[in-house]
Amino acid sequence: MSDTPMNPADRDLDERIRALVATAVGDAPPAPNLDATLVGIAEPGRPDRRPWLIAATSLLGAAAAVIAVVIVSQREDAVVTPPAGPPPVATTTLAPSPASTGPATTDTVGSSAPPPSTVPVAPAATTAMTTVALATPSPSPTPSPSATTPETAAATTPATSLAPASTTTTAAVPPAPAIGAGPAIAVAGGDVIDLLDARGVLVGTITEAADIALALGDGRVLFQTQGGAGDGLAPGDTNPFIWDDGSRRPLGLAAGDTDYIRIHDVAVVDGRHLVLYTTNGSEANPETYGAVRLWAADIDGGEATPDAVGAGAPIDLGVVGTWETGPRRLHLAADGLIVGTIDPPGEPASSWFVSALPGSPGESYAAGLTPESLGVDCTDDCPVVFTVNGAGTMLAWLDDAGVTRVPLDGDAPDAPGAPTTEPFPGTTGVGDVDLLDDGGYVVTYSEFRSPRPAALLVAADGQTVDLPGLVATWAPALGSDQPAPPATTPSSTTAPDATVATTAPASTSPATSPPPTTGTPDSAQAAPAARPPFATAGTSGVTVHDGAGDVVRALGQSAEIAILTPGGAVVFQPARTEEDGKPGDPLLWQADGSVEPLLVELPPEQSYRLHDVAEIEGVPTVLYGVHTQPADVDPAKFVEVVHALRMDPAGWVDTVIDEINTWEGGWSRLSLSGQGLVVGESYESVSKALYVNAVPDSPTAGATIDAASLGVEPEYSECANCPGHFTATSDGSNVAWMDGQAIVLHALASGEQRRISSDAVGHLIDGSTITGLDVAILADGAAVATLNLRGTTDDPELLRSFDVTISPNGAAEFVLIGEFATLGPTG
Amino acid sequence: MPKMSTTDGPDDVDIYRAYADDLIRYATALVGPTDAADVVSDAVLRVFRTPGWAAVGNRRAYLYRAVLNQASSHHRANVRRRRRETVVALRDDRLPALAADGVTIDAHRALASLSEQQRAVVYLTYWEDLDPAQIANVLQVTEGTVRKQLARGRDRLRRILDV
Repeated sequence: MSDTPMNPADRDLDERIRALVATAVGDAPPAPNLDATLVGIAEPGRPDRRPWLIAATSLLGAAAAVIAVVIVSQREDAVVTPPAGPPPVATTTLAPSPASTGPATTDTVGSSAPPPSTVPVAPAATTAMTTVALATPSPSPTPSPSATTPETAAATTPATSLAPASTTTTAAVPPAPAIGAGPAIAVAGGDVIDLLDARGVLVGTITEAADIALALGDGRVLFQTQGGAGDGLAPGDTNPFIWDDGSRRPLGLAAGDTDYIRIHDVAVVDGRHLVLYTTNGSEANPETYGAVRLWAADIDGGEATPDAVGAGAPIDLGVVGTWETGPRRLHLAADGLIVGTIDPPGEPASSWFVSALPGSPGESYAAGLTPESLGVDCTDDCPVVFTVNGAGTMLAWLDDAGVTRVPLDGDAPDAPGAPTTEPFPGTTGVGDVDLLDDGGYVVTYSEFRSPRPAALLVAADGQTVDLPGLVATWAPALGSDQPAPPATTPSSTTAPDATVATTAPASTSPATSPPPTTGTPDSAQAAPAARPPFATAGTSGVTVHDGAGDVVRALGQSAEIAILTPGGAVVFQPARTEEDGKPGDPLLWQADGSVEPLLVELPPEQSYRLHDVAEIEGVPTVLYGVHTQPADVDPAKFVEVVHALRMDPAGWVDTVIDEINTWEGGWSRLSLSGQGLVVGESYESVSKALYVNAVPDSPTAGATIDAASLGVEPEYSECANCPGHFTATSDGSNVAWMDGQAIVLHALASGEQRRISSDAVGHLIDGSTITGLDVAILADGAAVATLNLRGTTDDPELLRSFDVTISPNGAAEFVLIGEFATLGPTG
Repeated sequence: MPKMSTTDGPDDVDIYRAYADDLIRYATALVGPTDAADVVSDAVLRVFRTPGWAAVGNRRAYLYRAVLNQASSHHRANVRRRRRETVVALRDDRLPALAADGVTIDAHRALASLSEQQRAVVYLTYWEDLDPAQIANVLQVTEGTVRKQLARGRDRLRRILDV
């Protein structure tokens, strides 16, 4: 390449770009084979072969569809199970991993089950029974010989420590400035906008894909589906929207017709909501092409129409860069000061940017704020991010030394105070920092990081909260006449409720009227009952959380489901493989960190399905299924047999509970209560029904619980929102289910029903399938739950789960926690 | 250039075979690996069905231009899909990447941040090793435009690589 400059820095850059291009094209796919098509085009005298191609393509498409159906069917089969049809098949050579004495195995079939059959028991491994102590960790566990035991387990989970394995915590409670009635943090960058309170707790969701979202502090949200130039966008694609009163309307910025728009920030200046934005002339507009111009406009200053919200006449703040040089995101303070980072031509790669609204207090001192006056050396290397808080009382920047904050004195703002620097708890590659008035901040990573880390909330005290998206912004303060900030209760493992979300009124719509952030949660008025821990499973592994949501320990093995046992061990099922589409055999992750197989290996046509774990009369009991998919595809042989494995130290006992045909039906995930009650849902074709059973000889064996006693229909057909996802609470005192988007709790003793709205996350539930509900009743009458969802409109495979806190009065708060969550034991 | 036909010179199949690998890499630089094959297929089929194709002189340049045009229309149709990929990126560490100063860069996203013309120029410069005059010939633009776009593209990538 003869035309590239040849100084060393440029040579280095050329080599890096060459490597980047090579990386990008290195995984180019094979060129499509167009021979047949081209022959058809090039030889007009011959019969047109395209119909044949179309037919062949259609045939291939049909075949692919069939394959897809089979795959989906298999996946569904593995998740849920179908009703009993043809004769039961004697199943399984399965047995729990047992001791030298061998487990006592009693096959007891439930009332609707086929006759009992003796299940031969084979040792799963050489592991002695005594090493599989669920309630009490084994004093000297024997490492499993299984090849499936991940080496990382022991390394990541010290045997004697339950100290948090991560700095991530949901207990951080940044003292929040007054932000009015709206959410404090908006997180965009995915297919939804998540709205959070000042502590990073989800309070609402807007189902809009956005590049950036800015909560205005009054309940409204300004957002942009696409921002800035490039990517083949038309200027009109970059027009921002206002979300207000449950709907969105374009914000009428005239520049959107001809120039690309990028919104940067919103501040309340002299009582007006001003949006700070830049425009970039499109290639179709030679007069403005390439120049980035900065503007501010009053969001409420123009004439509103039914189709758009009119913005006021924009204030022209001049050209501030070019298409290539930025600026990056700029921040607007209430006194009109504008601070940010710009990419100047040449070196250094980043530099200080300061400006101010004309006539504002900030204008009088902005020019006096320079890198030199701030004590920053931008000659060779400059901080990667500069920012100012919404009140205009603090500047901050991020460089190799960490985060440096500089107070700005209101009387002498051009004479910055003494800087203080603290370590930055995140990773490198930061794209933006939005500074809170108390010194905390939210971090957005560069869009070019791969993988791009989730945005981060760093509280003033240094605690961090991973946010549920990529691009985070902080809402502006509305002024002293606004409601007081939320309580700033410090985190505590004994009173976790007070550190989690504010309580959402059950009837409040999330997007239009997010839950108030000004009150103290109900549970803080009295000592709340201890919340149970929970476990999450997903592509990133298995994680155990305490009742406050803090991570206790983690295991880097992808899993379908993980269930915490009373002794601190976790039973989990590794994620299904692409090879055979079946989940792995259940494993036992002991409290001491060792991992070993729980059950024996099955023949290829069978697989395990882990349902639940409970402690029944002091004995840990695992409810699991054995799913058979015969190679001869005989519908009668598609069955799931569900077992209860009582892991009694005196000898394990495996009991067959029931069997169901899974060809066109099956069970949902079944729950097991501490009283031995088994509750779930059976389905067949398009109908589904409550399923109730009991572990033989358990306290609830023989109890009569049916649909009529719960006040639901015996069967529901072809309805999406009818009662379903039945589950027993962990203590067996209640049966819970979803009725539309509401959680219903039915007390078995009194018949009392409580109905808990999930409006706060209704937008998410709307586009998703509910895949699981776990509920536990606490001593004070409150309840906690985990609610699992799969899929969104855009991503059918996306998994999400919520930790739900239900106060005695029925109000609920939802905290997004992971991919698939299950509730641990209470007490 | 004489008119191409199935009997008096290389037919369309031969022409496509001659340039297929170049075009697929070019399309990968423009739209990424997932959609590159679609872009090439659509572009090539469209070109070969064009009545004036037989009279085209610089067929290579014409095909490159067609792929660039197809990539442009493809982008707009896929904005929302790419948004979903961003979500996936939250939990996907398998994306093509490039290490720079301890930070892993998403190479496809970095290229996608350039304008289409810059992307084309950067690809042709750093992969095809063409000089500005040759690129100008391929893209049917002036040499000055190529130099300007190359400078802008390099500047932009420098900032990304220095993130």
